[in-house]
Amino acid sequence: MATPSPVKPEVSTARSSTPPVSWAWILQRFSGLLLLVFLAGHLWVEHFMNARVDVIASRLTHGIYDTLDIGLLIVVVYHGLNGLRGILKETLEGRAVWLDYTLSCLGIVTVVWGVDILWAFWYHRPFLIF
Amino acid sequence: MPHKHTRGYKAFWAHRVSGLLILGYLYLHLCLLSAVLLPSGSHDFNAVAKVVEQPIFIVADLVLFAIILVHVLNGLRLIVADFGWMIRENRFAIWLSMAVGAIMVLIAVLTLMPHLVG
Ligand code: HEM
Ligand code: HEM
Repeated sequence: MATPSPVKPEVSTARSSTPPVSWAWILQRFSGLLLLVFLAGHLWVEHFMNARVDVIASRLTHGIYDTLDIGLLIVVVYHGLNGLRGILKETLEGRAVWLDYTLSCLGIVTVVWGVDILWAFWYHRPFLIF
Repeated sequence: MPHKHTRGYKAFWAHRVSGLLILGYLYLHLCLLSAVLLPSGSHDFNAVAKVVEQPIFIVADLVLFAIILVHVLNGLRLIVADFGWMIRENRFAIWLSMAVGAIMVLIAVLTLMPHLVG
């Protein structure tokens, strides 16, 4: 805080002057709130109910844990990549022609990968070979 | 991006960096899970579980928890601000969210203490 700034508005939140209200903007907040529930649940389960691989396997035969894992997976991938999209949009300024396409593909691949990992528990075999 | 000397500048960067770090962790997490959980995976889950019970990994776990708290609590503050609340008290809101985070990390440290000391 060495040099005093000429611009020091009374009111400032951690973003540029007017927040652009778009679907991406709204869904970033909405997914953030959903994540609060999913992530708190996940961290609780993994720290206080986690044990050996057979325990995880038997846990995953109860729908509630699959729902927790897949819900967390989808929401965290959406929120993280949508956040990354915002940062890259700001940095690349219009040079980001393939950005949405690339990040959507990355998101879909990540969710398929995550489901594939859990799939092993339901059918005792890999869905794809990774 | 907020101006360098406005309030919330540091909070802005803390939010951005913590979000990216957790996103990076997610991919590490999926790599490890696919290596240990898939039948075709290359490692034995229980052997890896033994390794990650060592104190150094418990510390890493606490660091991750702290990074998550920075992002989550600041994210909640931003959502509250979007509703028009606590904007003038912005400095207090940042301070409050980080104080809550510090208390939660402290509780986590105390909870995991048995694993840390042996
Ligand atoms: C350090 C604490 C953590 C531990 C010990 C942990 C452990 C695990 C384990 C053992 C699983 C396997 C499935 C199950 O148990 O139901 C899992 C799944 C998962 N974890 Fe974590 N986790 C941690 C933190 C996180 C964080 C911070 C995130 C979010 C960035 C996350 C995201 C996920 C996701 C999305 C899945 C589902 C994976 C899939 O669909 O294949 N975890 N975690
Ligand atoms: C668990 C509760 C969470 C909440 C309440 C939350 C909240 C938010 C909010 C409100 C924003 C928008 C900030 C803005 O536009 O000014 C945001 C951005 C972001 N979040 Fe989260 N978040 C959470 C978890 C996560 C997780 C687990 C990840 C990582 C996978 C993540 C990654 C990001 C990224 C990369 C951004 C973009 C940051 C930027 O634009 O500078 N968040 N978060």
